[in-house]
Amino acid sequence: MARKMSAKARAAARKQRDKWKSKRWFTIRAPRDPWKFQKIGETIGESEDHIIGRVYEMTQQEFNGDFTKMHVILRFRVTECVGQDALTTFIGHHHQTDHVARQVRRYRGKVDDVVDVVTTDGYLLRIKPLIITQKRIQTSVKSDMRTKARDVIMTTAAKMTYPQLQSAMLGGDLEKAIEDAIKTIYPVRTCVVRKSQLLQDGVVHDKGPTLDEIHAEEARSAAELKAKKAALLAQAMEDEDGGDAEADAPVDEPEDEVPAEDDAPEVNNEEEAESEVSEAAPEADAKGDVDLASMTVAELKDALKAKGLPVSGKKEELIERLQGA
Amino acid sequence: MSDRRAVVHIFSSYNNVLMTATDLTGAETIATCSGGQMVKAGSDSGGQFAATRAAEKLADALREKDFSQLIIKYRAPGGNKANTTGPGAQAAIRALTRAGMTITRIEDVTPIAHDGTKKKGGRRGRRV
Repeated sequence: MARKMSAKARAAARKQRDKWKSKRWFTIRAPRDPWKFQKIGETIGESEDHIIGRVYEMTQQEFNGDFTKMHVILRFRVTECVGQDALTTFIGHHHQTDHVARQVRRYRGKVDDVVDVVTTDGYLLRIKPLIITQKRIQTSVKSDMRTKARDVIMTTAAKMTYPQLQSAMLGGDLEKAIEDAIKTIYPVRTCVVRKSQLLQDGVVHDKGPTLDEIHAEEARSAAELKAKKAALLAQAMEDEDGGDAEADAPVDEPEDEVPAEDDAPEVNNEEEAESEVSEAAPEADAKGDVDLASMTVAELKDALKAKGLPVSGKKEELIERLQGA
Repeated sequence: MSDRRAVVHIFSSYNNVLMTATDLTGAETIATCSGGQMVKAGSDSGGQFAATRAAEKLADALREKDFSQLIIKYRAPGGNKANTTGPGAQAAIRALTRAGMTITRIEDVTPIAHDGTKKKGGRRGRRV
């Protein structure tokens, strides 16, 4: 019996591994209008049919690097597959439950509400604001605040398209508007849109760059990065060769007063177009003094050593000595 | 490409620890493991030792498929059952970090009932 089971299990395992190999990776992209098909993640699946309808969650921090938004989770649903790209729609966001729970305490008033709004382009969205006051408040005050907040949400959302509403909601404009309206009633501690859910789709926009344009852009930036890397590498090799051949090489560097970072684009330009070199050069010269000041003491000492000058003293003295030489 | 990201769902009760690694959408399972596979006694399967062993096994399976970044979503039974995780959840997370996985985010996804059905055990509770 046991052997039979294990044999079966092994067969199942083999089958599974084969399946894994037959799957392919899809790039998940954010919606077109506010987010320009930004790459947000990856998923794996056998065919496009399997990918469509999947929901991808990510924090707003991952999305735009704003660490004050690390508790905000954005939800995207895959609606369409184009080649390797899975295109999504924004289907709402929510705050992490533990983050919300931390703010709700004794001796604070909590106002919760559920507001359904329709945008100008026909999207039906459910918005859940959460207001927490400084002190404990009466129910009548709470209901005042609730109606005011509802009013603000309704009027703002009714004037906006879905993408506009998204950016207002996630960027904090809507929250600011609500707070401004209700803080005359009672001092507010936090005022956030705790949750939003897309209930019904509306008209699809064709604003913003197309997928092809984004692809072209990405290919271009990748190529640029590659060229830059190659240039840096080439320069590093050059520097190394120079250093080996003659000890004078590092001495030249501080005299030019051009740090390594500025060299990189110049090398790039030489490869691509010589006309731009003349533009880049004066810029680097003007930066010269500033860059000396921005160098660390260790770097300054290295430069001094290369010139054969004493390396003692404060940073200002080192800079003076370097400039005097 | 060794920095693929996966989501590890950890269900931790007092009786067992179940771990499932999926892709970022949660739709595609990469590997699964549980505390009960690791120990002989059923009553140990929710414990720290079982959880650690299971997490190590899961980490191996993930590494084989080039996943090194993890998002952890842990939960207790929740609903009208216990809202606190068993002893295995902590141990499993620690074992995953120990195994060299980078953990980008830890999230509690215990289902919290806002109303719902009556908890089992009757009016006078469980009489042991």
